[in-house]
Amino acid sequence: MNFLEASRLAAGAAQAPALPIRLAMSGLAPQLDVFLGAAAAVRGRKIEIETLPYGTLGQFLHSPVPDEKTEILLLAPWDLVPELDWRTGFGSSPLEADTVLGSAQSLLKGISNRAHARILYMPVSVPPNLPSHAAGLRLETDLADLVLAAGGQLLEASSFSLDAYLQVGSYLASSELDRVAHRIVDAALAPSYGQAKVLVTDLDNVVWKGVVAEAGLDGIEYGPEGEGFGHFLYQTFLRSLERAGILLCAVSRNDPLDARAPLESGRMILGIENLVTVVASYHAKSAQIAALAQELNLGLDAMVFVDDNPIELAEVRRSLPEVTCVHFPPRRNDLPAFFDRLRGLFSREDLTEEDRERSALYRRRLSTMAPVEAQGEDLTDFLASLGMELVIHNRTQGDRTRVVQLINKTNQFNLNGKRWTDDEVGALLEAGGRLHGATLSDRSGSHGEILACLESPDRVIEVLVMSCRVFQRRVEHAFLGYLAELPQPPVSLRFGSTDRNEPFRHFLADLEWTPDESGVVSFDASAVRDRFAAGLPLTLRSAES
Amino acid sequence: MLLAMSESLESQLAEVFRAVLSLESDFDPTPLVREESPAWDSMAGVTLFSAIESEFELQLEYSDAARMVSFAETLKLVQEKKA
Repeated sequence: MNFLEASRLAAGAAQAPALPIRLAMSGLAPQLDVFLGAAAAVRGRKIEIETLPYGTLGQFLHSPVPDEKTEILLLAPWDLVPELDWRTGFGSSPLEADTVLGSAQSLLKGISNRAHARILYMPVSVPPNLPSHAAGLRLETDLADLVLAAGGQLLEASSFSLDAYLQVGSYLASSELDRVAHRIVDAALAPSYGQAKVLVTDLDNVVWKGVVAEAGLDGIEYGPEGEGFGHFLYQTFLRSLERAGILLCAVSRNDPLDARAPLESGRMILGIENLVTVVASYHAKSAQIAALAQELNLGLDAMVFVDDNPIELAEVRRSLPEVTCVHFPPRRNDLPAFFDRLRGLFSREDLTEEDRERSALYRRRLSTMAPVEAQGEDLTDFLASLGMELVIHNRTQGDRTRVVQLINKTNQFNLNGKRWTDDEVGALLEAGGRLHGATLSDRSGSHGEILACLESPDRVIEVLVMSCRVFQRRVEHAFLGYLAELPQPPVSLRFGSTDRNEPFRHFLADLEWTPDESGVVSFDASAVRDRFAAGLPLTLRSAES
Repeated sequence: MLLAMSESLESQLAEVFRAVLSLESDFDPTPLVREESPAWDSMAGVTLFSAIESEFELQLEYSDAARMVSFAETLKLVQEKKA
């Protein structure tokens, strides 16, 4: 998220309930307040920040503990050991690691004794002020260990910019402000470290690599090699949490049979027996998580939700701000920080027999849980902040390989499930049909070709498919709006129900379009124009214009 | 096309100036000069620097900060970096 988007999001939360925090850090953080405002806004809160004056960390520890305000300490190594500050240069004699670790430990103890204090620590390289390189590396590790032992969390080392620190005294990289702000707001809203009791995980592209409803059981990866390796590590991590008495649940926008199949296959290290329950439907994840909390008789603040999709995370954050939302990282290099964070949230040292038995107990309790059907939060403003651009391509002429592939591998958002050979598509186009493709990009990059639509010469939509990667972004609505504006809009769609196209059935139901007995659905162009002419959270253009 | 891109960059930068310097939404910041603008103090300069890096996805150098003496010079800097 960029600066102006963050400013707009923060301004939009003026009437939201307040989230007061006291922020302590030993450096400047220009515009961090703007990004904090935006991070709070996407959780339905308005940030109220009290920033400690520069260089007053010591005095902070002797100040009274506020009743309601969370205190966030954003620390760097030189906050624990002043001699490690890059801005002060090198001392005349090498540091003694044992001495400085002792004072760092006292400082951290003072912080962790404060009731509402949370520590976020940047484990950055320290200046070579120790007798040897190895001693420096050991000190870096020891400092991070002390922070974790004090209940702190580690930020990604990439959050630090030595250049910015030396230039303007701000040690946060501008490109990382958004990410750091989310971590701060998460920490402010989270339970005390070690207090979380339930981990609710998404499945596709989190527990395994791939989308099981599209690729099938044989098309997903979860083993200790290749693309699946990070997911294998996550599964082993979940198993370790289960052994420590943490309750594991899965929530997936999927058909229940598809969602359970890999867990029941016996091929993965994580099995259905390790989970308290698997909730799978095409309804809002926030509603499923709220129902889970109720069934488990636990507070929402005891729950941690892990998903790879920022839109799902935003929906849950917005609807259930008490739930701690953690992004499953798209880059494997970010996995260590991800696991550290989860470990901090769930760390427990006093494991009892009851803890070990807890999963089985709750599994019995949830065996009769009814499916939840509810709509999610309105995410229009969040979606607008993604800077999405949908480009429609006329694929009637030229290369259509990718579009035909998309038609033949998409199961969920699929008008009727019919597969088409390239020759069949070609014949329909030669007779006067039209083929549309669409690509989507946003701030995080391009999602590639994500939609295909084939019309017959008499303007009946025979094929309409969209990749599940872009569900919930309102791409399908924007595309209908595009079709409605064509000089010759489609007249109908040829719908057919399949085992897996429930998302498409939801789409039609949402539009209040009902198929006739033969599956034909009228395309009401004027209704589409009225409904989707404006207010969609993306920019749409035709590649030809 | 290039002209349109340049106009869009200018209006985006103007919006950054308005946000950072707390200016009214209809204020035109294009004639602003740092030395003549009380709101553009050293702290605002640091914030502008960082906001521009974030908004335009740029990495600026120390010497770039010294060039940010007016809206026009800052715009020129952003245009060069984006080129």
